[in-house]
Parts: sequence; structure tokens; C-alpha cells
Amino acid sequence: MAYTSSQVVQAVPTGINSALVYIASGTATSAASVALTNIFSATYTNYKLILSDITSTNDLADMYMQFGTSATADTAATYNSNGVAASSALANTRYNLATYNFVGRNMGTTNNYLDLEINSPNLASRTYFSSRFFSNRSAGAETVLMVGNKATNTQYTDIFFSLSSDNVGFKYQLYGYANS
Amino acid sequence: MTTPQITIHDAITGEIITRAINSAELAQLEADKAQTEKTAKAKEKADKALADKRQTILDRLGLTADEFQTLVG
Repeated sequence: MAYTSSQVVQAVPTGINSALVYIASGTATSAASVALTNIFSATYTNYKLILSDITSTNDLADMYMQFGTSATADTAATYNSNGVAASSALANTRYNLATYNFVGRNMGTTNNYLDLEINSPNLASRTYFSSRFFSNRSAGAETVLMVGNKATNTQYTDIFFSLSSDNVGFKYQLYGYANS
Repeated sequence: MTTPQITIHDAITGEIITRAINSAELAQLEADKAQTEKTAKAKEKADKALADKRQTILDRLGLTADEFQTLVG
């Protein structure tokens, strides 16, 4: 089979399915909102996004996620999130925010971490996610495990991150799961 | 007051744009902050009520918190 140059980069060895394929990485400087645009496409159904060295201006912030297109976040109240923090169930009143997916809480000011799996953001079907968040706060650190969806059939290309207060920054690495 | 910024990282071109957030984004941000403060205050109130209740029981028993922990530990 002949490959184009772009296909060679994304080729998966024969017999290996669902391999992770590198898409993008970088450092997002601290801002009230950070958007990673044009990261979702028809090439992959599932994605793995790792945010490391996450910074927060202040202690105790919560971390939120939204999907979007053309560098504009979808703020419609169709986000659903549920999960646990440490050994405690998260009450819906605080963590099912409708206008965001909730992915972290009780952040320290540096070195927080988010491991995120996203299903079908660029398909005309619901977008799902699961996440594991490590809070690096010295007093009252948290481990937050979340699952949820964006209950629309919009085909998203972008993802947005923000905090309940002040600015967020991070390093990111994005991979796609090869479909076959 | 400094206007909050958004940074946009384009994965295809590598271009990074930083701009002030727009009015809709700002409204959402402020609503989120208000909700966060409301939740934090409610939690603080609930925590204080629980601590007061605990102290009332300890007073009734004539024990300090340390003495109670020794008993149940």
C-alpha cells in the first residue's frame, strides 16, 4: 500500500490495533480560558489528552472543560458530569454544572495533572469523556475521577479549559486512538 | 480591572492567539465565580454547624475532642 507523507506519520504497524497516534503538544500560558483548536477531526473517534504541570493562580480552584468549534466554546447547558473525589461522592449541585464538564477541584497552584479520554467529539453524536485528576494542593489534595458527556450531536474541533477562579496554564499532549 | 484573556492554540498551524474574552464569555465566567462563592459559603456554613453540634455533644459528655478520639480510635 502506498502512503502519502502525512499517512506515513500516522501509519500503524500491521496487526496492532487501537494504537495511540501523536497529534499535538505544547505549552499553554496562563489565561482565564485556554482553547486548543482544530485538535479533533474525522480521523479518530477516541482521543487521549494529557495536561501536566497545570497551574492555578490561587489554591482551591475547580477545573472546567467545554467543547467548541471555530475557537468558540459551546456554552449551552447540556454538559453532564458525575464522579468521585477521594472517597467521597460528588453532589450534583456543585459538580454537574450544565454549562461545563467538571474535571478537577481543590487545585494547588502548580503541578496539578489531568488525564482525559474523549469519545467521538468530531462525530455527529454525543461526546463522552472520562478523566482522572490529581490535585497538588499540600493541604487537602484531591484525586478526582469523573465521567460525563456533552449531550448534543455537534461535531466539535476544539476544547476549552478554565477554572472557577483566576487563570489556568498547562503543558499538553494529545493523541488519537487509531480506529483500525 | 484587567480584562480576562483567552489563549487559543491552533494544533494545525501552531498559531497562538491571545485576546480579551468577549461579553458572552465574560458573563459566563462571572456566573461561574458567583456559583463557586455561593457553594463555598454554603459549605462553610454547613461545616460550622457540624462543628458546633459536635462540640455541644462533647460538652454534654464532659470530654475534650482529644479524649473522644482516644475512646473511638
